[in-house]
Amino acid sequence: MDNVENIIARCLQGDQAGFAALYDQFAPGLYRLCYSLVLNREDAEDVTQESFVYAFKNLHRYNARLSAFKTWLYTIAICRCRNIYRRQKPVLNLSHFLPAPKSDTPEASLARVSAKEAVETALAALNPRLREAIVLRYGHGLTFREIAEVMDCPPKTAESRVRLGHDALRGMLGPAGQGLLDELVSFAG
Amino acid sequence: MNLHLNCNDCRGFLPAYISRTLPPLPRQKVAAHLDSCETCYAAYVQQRDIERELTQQVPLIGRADSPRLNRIWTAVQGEMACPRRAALRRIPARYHLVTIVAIVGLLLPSLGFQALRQRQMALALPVQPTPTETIEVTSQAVAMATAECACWLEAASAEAPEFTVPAQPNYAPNISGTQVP
Ligand SMILES: [Zn+2]
Repeated sequence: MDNVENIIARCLQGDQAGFAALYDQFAPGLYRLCYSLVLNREDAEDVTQESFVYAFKNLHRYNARLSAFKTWLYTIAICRCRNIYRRQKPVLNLSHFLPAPKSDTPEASLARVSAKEAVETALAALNPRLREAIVLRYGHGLTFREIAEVMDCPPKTAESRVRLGHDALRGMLGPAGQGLLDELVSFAG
Repeated sequence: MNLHLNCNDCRGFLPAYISRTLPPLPRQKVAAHLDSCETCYAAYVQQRDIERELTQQVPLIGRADSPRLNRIWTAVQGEMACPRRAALRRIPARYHLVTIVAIVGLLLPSLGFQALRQRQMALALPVQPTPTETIEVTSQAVAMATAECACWLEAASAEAPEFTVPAQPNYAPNISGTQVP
């Protein structure tokens, strides 16, 4: 398989297949990143599209010695995601927590909440900067240095944001967080 | 070797201990403390469980299927091929509406002035202009203005600067801040 630098070199020489190769390699991750940050499909699609168009048109500006292509692409996307959640807060998807029909007790409906949905709901409730740090760390396995680069902050700040996000999520998802989920249920019902 | 560690220091080391980035000596100290301290052990279990849950669940959020990725790719290709039209399409319809309303607003006073002049002329002349003529003028003017506005919008959006992205930081040499103790 071609490495990314070779593909980029081909793109810069006008090879259209190179762009498709870059897209195939990075689109699944980039869409997932965008969705995890804006938490709705339409905006995630738009941001993914805009980010690729920008990256492809500015490919000559990318410097492989300064950062990996993935972190460059993520930096482009995160700017656009920030514009979106500056405009609108991610909506807590309470449908996961709506009480089930009739005999189901709130406990039973809570039991139906999948771990993924619970994490997604907790992410939506998180401060955007902490959400970014958590998603980059746990969703994409970036190092603190890479997170710092994407979030445009010092590495120490990236590290403390991951910790703060971790603590906040522990409050929501841990055993003590059950009360918070109950609250969400009564709020939605 | 002194393996003593107080609770505060132990809690501070827990994240690195859990992610296995702690060097051998402090790692040994934390392990020894966890063996002897119930409360720190409980905190460790809680943190470890949430770490595991996040590592497993966050990557599952927002996975795109092939049709969605294909749709985005088609849109990317479209915008690469014809950026100006795509840029215009991205301007929400409400902005087109606002522009049209603004232009109609600008035209109305001049139309009013024209109507006034026509009335003055009507006083002087025996023949009155038919209302249909005025309506035609109005709709034509709006249509022209709208076309002009569309061109202007297109030009403006073509000239509009792209999003700015922070410059790539040059972190290659000597940043030692990320090393976990
Ligand atoms: Zn202790």
